[in-house]
Amino acid sequence: MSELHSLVGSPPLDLKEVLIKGRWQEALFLTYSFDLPFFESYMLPLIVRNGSRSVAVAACATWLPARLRAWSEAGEIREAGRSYTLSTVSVPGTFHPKLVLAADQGGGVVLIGSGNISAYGMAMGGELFTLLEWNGNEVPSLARESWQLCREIARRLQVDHLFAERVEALGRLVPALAASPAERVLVHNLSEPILDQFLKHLSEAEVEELIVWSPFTDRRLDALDVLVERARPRRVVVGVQPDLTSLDGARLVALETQWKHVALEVRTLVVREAKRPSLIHAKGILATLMSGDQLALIGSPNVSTPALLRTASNGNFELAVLHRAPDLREQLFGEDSVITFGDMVQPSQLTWTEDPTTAEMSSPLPSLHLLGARLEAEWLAIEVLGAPPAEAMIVLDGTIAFAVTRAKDGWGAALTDVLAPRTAELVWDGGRSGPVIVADLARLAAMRHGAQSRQHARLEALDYGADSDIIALLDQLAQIAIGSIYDLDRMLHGRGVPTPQEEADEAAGQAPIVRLEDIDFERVRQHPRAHAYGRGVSDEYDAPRIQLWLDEVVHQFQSLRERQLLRVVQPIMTEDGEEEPAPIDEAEERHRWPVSRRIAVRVRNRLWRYVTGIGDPHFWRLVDSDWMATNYVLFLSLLDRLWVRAATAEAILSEEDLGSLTLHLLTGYWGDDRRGGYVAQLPEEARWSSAVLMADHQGDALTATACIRLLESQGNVGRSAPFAVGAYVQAAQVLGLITEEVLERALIFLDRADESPAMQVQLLLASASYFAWDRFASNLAWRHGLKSAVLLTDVPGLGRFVSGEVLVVDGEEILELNEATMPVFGDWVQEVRKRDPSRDVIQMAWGKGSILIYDVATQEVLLRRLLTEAGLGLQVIAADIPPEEIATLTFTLSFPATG
Amino acid sequence: MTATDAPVAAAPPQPRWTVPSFRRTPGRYPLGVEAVNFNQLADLASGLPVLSQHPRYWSIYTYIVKSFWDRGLTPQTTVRLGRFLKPHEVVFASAALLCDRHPELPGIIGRDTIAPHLREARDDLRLDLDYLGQNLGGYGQVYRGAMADLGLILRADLTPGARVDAPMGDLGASIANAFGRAIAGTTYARQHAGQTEGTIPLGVVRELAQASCFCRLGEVGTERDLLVDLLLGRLQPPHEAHRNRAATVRLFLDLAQATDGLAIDEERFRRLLYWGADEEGGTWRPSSSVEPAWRRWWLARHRELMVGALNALFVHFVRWGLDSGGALRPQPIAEYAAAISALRPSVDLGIGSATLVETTLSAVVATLDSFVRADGWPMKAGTDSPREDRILDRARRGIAADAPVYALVALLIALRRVNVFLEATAASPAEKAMLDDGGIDRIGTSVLVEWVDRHLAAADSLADVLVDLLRTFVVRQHLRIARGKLPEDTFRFHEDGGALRFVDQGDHQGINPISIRFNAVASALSELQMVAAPFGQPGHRPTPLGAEVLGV
Repeated sequence: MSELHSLVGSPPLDLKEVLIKGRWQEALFLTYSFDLPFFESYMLPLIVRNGSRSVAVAACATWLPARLRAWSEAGEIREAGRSYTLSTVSVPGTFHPKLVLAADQGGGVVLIGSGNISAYGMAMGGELFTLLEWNGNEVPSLARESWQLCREIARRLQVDHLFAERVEALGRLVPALAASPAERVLVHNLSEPILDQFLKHLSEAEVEELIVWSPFTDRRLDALDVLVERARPRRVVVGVQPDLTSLDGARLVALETQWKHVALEVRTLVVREAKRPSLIHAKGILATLMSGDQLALIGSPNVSTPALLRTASNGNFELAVLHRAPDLREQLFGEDSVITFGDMVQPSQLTWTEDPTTAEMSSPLPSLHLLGARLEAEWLAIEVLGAPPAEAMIVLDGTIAFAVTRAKDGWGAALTDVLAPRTAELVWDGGRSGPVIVADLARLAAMRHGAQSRQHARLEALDYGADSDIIALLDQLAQIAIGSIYDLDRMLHGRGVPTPQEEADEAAGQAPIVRLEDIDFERVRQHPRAHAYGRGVSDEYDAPRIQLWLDEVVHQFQSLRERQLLRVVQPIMTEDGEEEPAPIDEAEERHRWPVSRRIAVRVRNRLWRYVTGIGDPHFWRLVDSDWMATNYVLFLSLLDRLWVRAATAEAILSEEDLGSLTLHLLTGYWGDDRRGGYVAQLPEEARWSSAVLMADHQGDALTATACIRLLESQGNVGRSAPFAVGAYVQAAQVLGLITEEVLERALIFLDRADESPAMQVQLLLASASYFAWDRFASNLAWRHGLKSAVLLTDVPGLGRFVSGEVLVVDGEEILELNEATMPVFGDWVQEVRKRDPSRDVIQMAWGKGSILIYDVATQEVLLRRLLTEAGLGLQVIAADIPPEEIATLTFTLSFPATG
Repeated sequence: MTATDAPVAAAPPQPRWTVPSFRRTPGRYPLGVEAVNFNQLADLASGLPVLSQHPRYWSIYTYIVKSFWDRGLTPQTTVRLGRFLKPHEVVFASAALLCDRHPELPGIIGRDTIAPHLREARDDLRLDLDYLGQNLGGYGQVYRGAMADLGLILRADLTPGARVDAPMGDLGASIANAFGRAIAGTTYARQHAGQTEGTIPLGVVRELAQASCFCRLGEVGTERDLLVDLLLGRLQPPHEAHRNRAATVRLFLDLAQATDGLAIDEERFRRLLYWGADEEGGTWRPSSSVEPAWRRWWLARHRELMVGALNALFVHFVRWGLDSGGALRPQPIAEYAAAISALRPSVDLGIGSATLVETTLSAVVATLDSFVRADGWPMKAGTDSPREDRILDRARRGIAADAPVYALVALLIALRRVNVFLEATAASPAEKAMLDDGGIDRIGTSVLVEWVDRHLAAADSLADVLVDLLRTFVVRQHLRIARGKLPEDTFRFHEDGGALRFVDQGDHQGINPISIRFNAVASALSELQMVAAPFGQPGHRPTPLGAEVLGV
């Protein structure tokens, strides 16, 4: 079978198919250059979608840092350090291998060749790779060699420990990788120059022909010269692309005259079926022996001094695979091959251009070198070779600098103002190192444990995101949050996320009514989407995404608190040597991007539909209390972030919108002075359980924050706020959610930590007993189904009353007395008696036609009819009636007027 | 001597050459900013997509879809509907092509296949002509989305639980029935309706043309009136899309009234829309009743100019890259930046002729501001100010040697004009939304206005501005858009270190602008007999029906 395989040749390789087919839990990539935006937008999603939970990339430290800086400035680094690790490797020349080693317990792949991770390479082809895939436990020798090489790289080259950790993790996943290889075909130059190794394989064999092809060569063709001089072939064929190959033609001619008994041919390399010329980036050496054997060295090394004649301690680091077969020439350049030889080329047509991968760089590595950075909570640990000088700073994302300090476990900086830096650079007087990617250990761990950080849009998008970030966040919200009966209906009927139009309809209350009888909560609970709400994250391998979001809420708070604390305690030395507390400099304000109105509308609609859902008693009946509490905290957090942004020129929603949304969220969950909210109807046990969940995720402080914002709002929201806040206060006091400690945290959210939490507690508690007459009248109308009820000092058509304001019910109407009249009057009289005991006459105008009067002294109820045929009439309709009995009075409509 | 064989006991798999992983396709809009223009025009003229030309297709397709339902055909799938629909489409297209009242009409779907067949066919029309790959024919290709926007069709792909498109309620049934009545007397309706296989005599099709051709719509009052009401949103539940469309119809009728003696095509429409006058004596100052719609259309045209400027710079850059051998070797952006920084504005632009490096943005903006303020708002006709559209024309879609200068100056004028527009009358929420549309990702107008302000604050030279425009809104934008389209390979260049490798995707002649939908709206008004003649001919004043709609 292997002979047949050799005769028909290997099919061309489409790298995309390797990615699409791959099912790898762990993956290691070694590359010289690294097209990060392409990797993150195309390759990584494919790999992650197929199940990868740990991806490590190591790229050249001479190539990457400048690009990292540019990508960071452009905001293009999204996943590095969060969904995968990106390490830099330093050698005196260039770190130039191209390797993919990826596996899960059922199989894997090793891919070694000439192509870096780039869109260009995948788009153009023209690379050579050795691809080996395996299934089952039989791990092939080449994969073992590859893993062991990665381990050696981690041990012997300058690379951060994260890379080593990922290599070891792969070894733990597939222990057979550590077994001794049955054969050694991997050629690298950690210890010995590659050319030496290749020539050893030739041993003393007579070489019929040497074929070399390499897009880049060294200036003097020393590597080629050494190869030819030592292998002493009868014929040398150099494959070139005349306009592309970097090779000094004159030098080649000069060498030809030196090489005795060697016939030189320079031939074009032709890409079959190519419409336009494109670079053949592959490189290799193929020796045909007199015996008929053929040996090829295929991989990363160009035919250059730093690649072939040096080791990683004084040149490049390179990697290749040694092939031996009788038909390699046919395989690589035969008629059916993708690449063939074309016409002869005059060497004079060839020119040399400089390329960093072929340049001699023997300068020693710097004495102080930043290898990596990792974020652990608020501590940014840096991994350095050498000791940073005292004045060294860590610069995050190219803008914010922190002093480097020495901690127990090494160098680093306590981050106070930055939530999620992407890059870190070490800067000191006269030097700098990096930048490197900051590895966010919590996120990487979440990714490894299946949380698919890639799909976990950060809440931070609401703080600093642009259109695409916010759409990503909205999409994720729609995918995982179950916040209304429409979501339940959709998931149980197999439909996807709502369209913007559906969402607008649902937010506006214009969507078709959902048939609730179809919905069974047990089915809801078993639906895969419901797993997002799973609590008790004891199984760290399956952190639900909502949980990650809630963790972010907590994380945000911790960062804020640290910042506030530091403001207070950061000492500075004054000129006379005394320490005094002073605020540290505010971090430079991070840039917020404006978002389009379309996005703002989508944000508003999405929040409205969820906020409406939280206040929907139908929904309450269908989901459990932990879901409700989770939703509540999550949406409160979203609103809080939007509030913060609303204070900037790049507001997504106006404060008016946010006030209204927040008010509805609070009244839905806690109720107000008209009706009980969700919490009011919960059994006591569930109420406590929800309270615990809230306290765990800052829901208590966020609610207090929302209350303060509402109480300080203007307009309708401000007028209604005390009644919603009052309802919250009444419920929350019982649950222990209103304390100075909670308010202290709330003030930190508000960035007003210098204010007194005790005062805010008092303000909140005061709202529980807040009363306003216009609200009383409005509630009266609402409770009794009246068109309107207002308090007027000056009643149209009647004028002022000495005793005070009159309750005017439906003042524009001609209203008959009916069964509602006396209950309304009774409520009014009782409230007046309660709040103004000195008032002795209490009036209520019932429409345009009647006034009811209560005389406190006589306890008489009187009726004055204004529009009777007989003119004004006044009649006592009841006597000796205490206020609380007024509501129970009945009377006929035909009683005669008197007077 | 023999080669040592101990360390290489067994061979690894053979090395393999890689082939391109992605399908190379140019794509039409490499900067992706036209998406915003499409959306804006879709807001202004929903139901009238670029390719739609004949409102009677609304009736025809609704009639066919309703026939499918009425006949109870199964399975109720889109594929089955397509098999029913396409033969009918062939018949009605053939009827329009065979109509003896006029030369061949434009915009008949399947024309390229059907017309030659009709010329060759002696007696019969084959119903199995393979004229369009789309399995729902021209309905799926052009009209389906528009008909759904109009509220005429319920699309199965957007409607949970629906398996096949259906006429939308009474409205759909009324229009289908109106068309059915219009053709009821034909032999086709009596003997061949519903036929999906075999052939139909051409005589039958010619007779059908007397009733079904687009030109006969005016003879069928009920159907035409229904379509007019549909276009104006009078039959549908109130919705902003219908209100916007009706406002657009009135705007075009206002144009028809103002330009009755002129022939208006799309280019002339653009000039009249933007400037209120053109070089050939045409003038159009929209009446106050249509001003809100006009202002939004003006903003749509304004964005076209901005997109044109960005595309011109893009094309010039790509051409430079390819001409410099960038398909073979990486080309540093810095070389292009140096080249364009040394360009000099043409003297007649009025901003001096020093090189861009030597010219400050603030000086240029001051000059341009004086021009745009002299033009005022609404813009006065006949000023000598440099005009962004004419300047952009000189960039020749990026082909002109100094296209970057023209593109930049045109862009700056257009952006400075936004201030005058906003100062004269505060932007309505809809106008504000149009200015903000696109945000960062698709380059909203507001983003560019702020970008200019930042450069002004930094006291940058014109060269700084142009190079930043190139890096931020051309290079980075294209790479972001192209990456998003993978595995379709639309890249014009790839990053390679600090340089770019270029790919020839055939942009040598520039990028065609998107249609501003003039033809779609104008032809709808003409075919619905709201104007007396096509806009392309003089004498296209509003008919009494049009005047009634316009409210004059």
